[in-house]
Amino acid sequence: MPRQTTSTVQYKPEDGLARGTLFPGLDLPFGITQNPGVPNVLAGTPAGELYAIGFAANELTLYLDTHPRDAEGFNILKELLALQNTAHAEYVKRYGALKIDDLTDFSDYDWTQKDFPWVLGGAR
Amino acid sequence: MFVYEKRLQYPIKITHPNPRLAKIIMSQYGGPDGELGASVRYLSQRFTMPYRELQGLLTDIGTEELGHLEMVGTLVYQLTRNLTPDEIEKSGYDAYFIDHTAGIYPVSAGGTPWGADGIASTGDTIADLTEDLAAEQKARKTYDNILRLSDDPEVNDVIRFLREREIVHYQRFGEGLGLVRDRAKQKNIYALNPSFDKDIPKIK
Repeated sequence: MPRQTTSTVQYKPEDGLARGTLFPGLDLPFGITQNPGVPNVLAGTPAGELYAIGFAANELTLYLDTHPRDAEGFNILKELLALQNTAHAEYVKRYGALKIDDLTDFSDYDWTQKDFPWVLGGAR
Repeated sequence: MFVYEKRLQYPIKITHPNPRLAKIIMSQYGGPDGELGASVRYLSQRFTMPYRELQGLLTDIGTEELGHLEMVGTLVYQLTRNLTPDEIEKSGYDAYFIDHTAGIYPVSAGGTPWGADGIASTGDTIADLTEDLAAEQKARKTYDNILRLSDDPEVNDVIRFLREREIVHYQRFGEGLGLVRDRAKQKNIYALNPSFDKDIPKIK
């Protein structure tokens, strides 16, 4: 199959998350229905920001695994990772620890105080 | 090692329980082309992959598949909450319920428990990557079929996301296979297996 030739033609992270890919050339839906711009419950929240940025960073990581010399792509990844750090911190402040490492900022053991993500409404 | 991040890759909130749908979606948890098989396949194949690009790709896609396993489990869990015995019987969920109640168990929609016979880890670079290409298409096919049978927009929103990931992974494995071909440096890419041979093997 042809290699993807560029990493710079991208959807915005929130649109990429909704569609399941950051890259328009790989966006091949079943039938004619596509997901709307921002996933349901998360629009406009710090949670939505983290999901979108985190998704974009993961998508770009897979791209860079097979295109390790794409310097432009790597710069985009670094920008995304910086944004992800901010979004992660905002999320933790608002909704609770995402990783055990986050517990340094808490006065009690937050890990089991908040819902796990499979619980209805746990996906914030 | 792996570290847990306490969120899903894509948010899931299913308003209406629907055990009929849960029964078919379950196949992407523990069926032959499901996410458990995907993660075990990639995370096992990576050990003998010859190039760091391929080791990275299998690690990263295998890890993402663990996240998808969690998402499919979440779908089934939310679709089977608060069911009455009457709803369970009428929906055809009773055969599963008898052994597993509302627990999450890796099994195909047809009732076959998950098994490693649905995956390959052959130790042959080209065979493994070609298996991975087929595996992504088989998973895409299952998501297509779920979309054909499901009329719940909240479920379909998640299924469409998971389905599109298969298409992206297929592209990456194709690029990985291309990378192996580029490095074969000979007209016959099968002359040696870069996962095993250091040099062209001599036949006894």
